[in-house]
Amino acid sequence: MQLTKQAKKGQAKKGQTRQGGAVRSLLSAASAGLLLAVPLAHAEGSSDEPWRVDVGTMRYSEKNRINVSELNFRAKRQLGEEDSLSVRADYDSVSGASPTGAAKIQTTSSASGGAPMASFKAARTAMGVDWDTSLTPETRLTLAADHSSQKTYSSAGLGGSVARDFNQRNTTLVFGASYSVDTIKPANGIHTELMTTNAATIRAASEEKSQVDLQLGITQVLTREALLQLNYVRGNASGYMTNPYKIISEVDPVTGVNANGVARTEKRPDKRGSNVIYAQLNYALESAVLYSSYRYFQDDWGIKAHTVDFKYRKPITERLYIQPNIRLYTQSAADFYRSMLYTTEITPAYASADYRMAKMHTNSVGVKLGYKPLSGGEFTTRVEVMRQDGEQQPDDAVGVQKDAGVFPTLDAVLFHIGYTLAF
Amino acid sequence: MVLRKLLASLIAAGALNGCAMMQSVQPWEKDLLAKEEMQLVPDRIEEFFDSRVYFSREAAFGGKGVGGGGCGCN
Repeated sequence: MQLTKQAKKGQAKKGQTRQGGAVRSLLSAASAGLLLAVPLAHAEGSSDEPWRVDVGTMRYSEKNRINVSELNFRAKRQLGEEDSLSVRADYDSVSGASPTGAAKIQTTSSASGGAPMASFKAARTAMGVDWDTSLTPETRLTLAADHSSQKTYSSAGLGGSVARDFNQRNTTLVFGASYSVDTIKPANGIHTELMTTNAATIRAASEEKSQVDLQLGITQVLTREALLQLNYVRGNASGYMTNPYKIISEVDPVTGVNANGVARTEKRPDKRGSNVIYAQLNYALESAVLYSSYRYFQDDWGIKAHTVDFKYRKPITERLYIQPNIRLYTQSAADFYRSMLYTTEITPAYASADYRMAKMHTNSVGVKLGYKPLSGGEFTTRVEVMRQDGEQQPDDAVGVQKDAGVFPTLDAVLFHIGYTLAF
Repeated sequence: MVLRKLLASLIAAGALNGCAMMQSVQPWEKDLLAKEEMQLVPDRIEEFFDSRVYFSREAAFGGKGVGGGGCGCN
């Protein structure tokens, strides 16, 4: 059992390939795959230029962790005045290492390196289709279907939204709903939860998880220059949400010594209800545009998160523009987050040492350039740097573990090139 | 509870339109709003990349619309 071997060693060596991995969600369709973003006006697609094609490539690199290379394709065809059809296809490959959740050191004499990592490699393909139609002159319906697959994870989703304009098209109300089912099938099977990695056994080959999202939104033209969007999204997830690739070290409650590298598999609740409030303001300042957004996220795992994002798009010449951006994110820890377990305690009902369940924050800054050549279309290129950090000495860290620091700080760079053409 | 509060605020926002304090923007005044860069999602691929990256690295997700399809367990 690979998991046991790795836990015994305290950490997995690089080069050991673990399919899927803790960042499988990077490979999955993610929220944007099926995102039904309702355009304000019929700005896109006209009978003169019924096609719009977007192609892009991205390279996402984390310092000493994973690398993602990705290709994207989007095509939209206007079908008469009322309808449009969009298709999308994405391919990506991921390789590198991800923190296992295990403590950084075993004893006081161990070298205090970085967080224990598990290496993996995976490739994923995703496809989707959207159909947009007018039900009445004021009402639009969008239906979407998505599918993505990789060796250890697959997902299928359906969604729909209805948008109705009021008040001379200055107000749009949106109702949306989506449903998706994911299948998680780790190469080494699904293990019994919260067992020591020596004792954990394979209890199933795969597990499922489903998600239902409901959206209620309003878009309001405030002035000639300002557009406001307010959304409420309720999410209900059900099923297997444990991360099969993560473990939690069991340490002495006083010294923090992780004798023999003992660790347990993790376990998360099988229900998760979330509430999101999202507000976005687009403001035109002569030829420039300022985009501001705020998101509040709360779920019944105890996580509360705030996100603010600003982008400022400013023309440099008639054909060239620059768009710097900044994003700030902060979250509280999940109730069941434990940076480590103690040898003396009764095993809790749920526990995860996944840093993404910890109290932490992310800061990102980036810049994008857009260029519209005379021959038509638009080229864009973008660089963004991101730093994620959290508590090095959380309340539950003890002894040598506290000294070693707990949070696996992350530095990443995202580079993207894209081209869009309407014809 | 959150839903109730939100409904109340949405209704309040809608009601603002009826107020004299906010004059409706006329169709011929929508030159700026009609620009592609004033759309809610002006660059879909950028949006896609960003939500992928942050979704996989943070506990919070979504908000811009429905569809967390395939979002894994994070």
